[in-house]
Amino acid sequence: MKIIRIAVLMLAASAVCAASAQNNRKKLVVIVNAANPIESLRPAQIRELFLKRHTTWRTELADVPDRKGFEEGEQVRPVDLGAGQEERRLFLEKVLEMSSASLERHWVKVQYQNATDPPTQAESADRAIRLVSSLKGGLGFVFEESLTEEARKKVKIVLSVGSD
Amino acid sequence: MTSLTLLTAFLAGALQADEPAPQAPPVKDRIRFSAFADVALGMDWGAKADPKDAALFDQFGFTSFPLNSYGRGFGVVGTDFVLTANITENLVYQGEVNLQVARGESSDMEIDFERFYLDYRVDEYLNAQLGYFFTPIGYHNRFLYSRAWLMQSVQIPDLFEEEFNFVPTHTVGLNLHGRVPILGQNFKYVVGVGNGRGMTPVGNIFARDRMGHEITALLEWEVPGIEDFVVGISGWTDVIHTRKVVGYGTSVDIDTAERVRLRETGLDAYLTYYGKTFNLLFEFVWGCQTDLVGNLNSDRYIMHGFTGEVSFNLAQNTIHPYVRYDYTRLPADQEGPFFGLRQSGDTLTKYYIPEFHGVMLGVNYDATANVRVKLEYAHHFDGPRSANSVVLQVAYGF
Repeated sequence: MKIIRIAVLMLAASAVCAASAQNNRKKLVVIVNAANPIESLRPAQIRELFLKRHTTWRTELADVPDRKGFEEGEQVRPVDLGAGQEERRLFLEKVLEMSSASLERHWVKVQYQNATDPPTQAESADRAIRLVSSLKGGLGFVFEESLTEEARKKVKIVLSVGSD
Repeated sequence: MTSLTLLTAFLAGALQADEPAPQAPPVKDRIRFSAFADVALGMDWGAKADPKDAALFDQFGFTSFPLNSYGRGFGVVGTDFVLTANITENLVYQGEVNLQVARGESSDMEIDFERFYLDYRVDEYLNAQLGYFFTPIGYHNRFLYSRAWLMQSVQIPDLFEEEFNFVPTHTVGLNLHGRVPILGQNFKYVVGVGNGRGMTPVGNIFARDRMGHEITALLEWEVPGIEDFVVGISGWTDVIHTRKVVGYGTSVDIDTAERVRLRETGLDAYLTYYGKTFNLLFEFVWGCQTDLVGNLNSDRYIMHGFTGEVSFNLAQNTIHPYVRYDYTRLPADQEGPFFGLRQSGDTLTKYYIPEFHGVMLGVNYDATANVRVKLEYAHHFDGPRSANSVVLQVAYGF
């Protein structure tokens, strides 16, 4: 009986480890609308755009020769996810390099200072993908595994970030 | 069967169709409120930094403000309510009202109108702001103002205190602002025209009955390669129409007193850096009032001041030790012909306005995303304040 208990415990432990390892392998990706001619962005650029320090895609488009009709004055439309979501925790840590509280402070501050409104909040990764795919200036973040084949036609990955 | 297949295919296709672009919600859903307030507990001790200044303040000061900011006991300033509304995609309204305690040892409440303006956002290059707003001068006046929650330290520098108005803090007028590339560098600019100063330093706030002369300009350079590092310069010019009032405590009748006309010119240079481990905030102001009529003791009256703050970001940016140094130097000859004037009915009276020279050492703690607790020691080198004081402040914004 004791042996069975130990075996069950070991199985449970290995299942937890496996789940944790799988979670660690999840890759966070930053996405933009497929119409956006930008192919890649650095975390520092994403910070500027997501925090609305730059409100249009102008600076990021400076070195992009083929704009394919994408206006350089196209407004940046960041899409955030709800607090507590794993993608958001990673995005804050790896890309924005700030805490959730600091981000909340940032939005209260810029609303006071510049009448700047916070990003649209999506309740799920699917909704974030749909928003980025329907907003020309969209900018969002999800786990790569959330992107279906169909979704990959409508959004473009501009940064991949490992979770470990 | 074929019909059923077609219907199924049609329904599946319809379900997979692109989601229509999100529509803007109705205006009522695009209105956002925020508020700012603080409570302070102060204690001071020791002699006055300069007993002569203290005596002058007792005799000719306007109210006990600003001495009570570092005074004894509990104090509240009031609550500041801000409404922001995206009327359309490009048109934003912002209004701000401060429900505040009257200055001095009084229980009266007053409503202080801070801002109401429309901001029309054409694009990143060009936007227009029309209404009543913080005069686009420097950094403190535009971005921190007197919202304790936004600041590292406890008190707004005297340079930008609206009860003094050494710098014109509010303007009714029009601003053009945007962000432009010049020689491969990014610059933010603001140019504005407004009603400018009234007959007294605090009289400009409701100056809307004459075409003013105030012109402001600001250029801010975003230092490349370093996030959140900007260097800016701004200036203003205005013509002040007031009356000659000589000597503290003296009052004159506005209708019969000798007229004074002053050309005011000012410059403000600033540097701000908000980094991962430390932050810098330095601002210098210089102002000159020139006699245009020739009936004053001097041709020019110079004011200048500085505020500099270094703060650090510890414990995942929740604890910020800081040190700040401030000074103001007002014109000789009883702060010149303009500062210290206050109007009551048809009477204009000259009050003593103290200078500031002090250093502040403190630490603040972000207890939550919306609450900042500060403990600050201040030492005043001169002026009418006590040489030493300690303030505990709880500031919040949401």
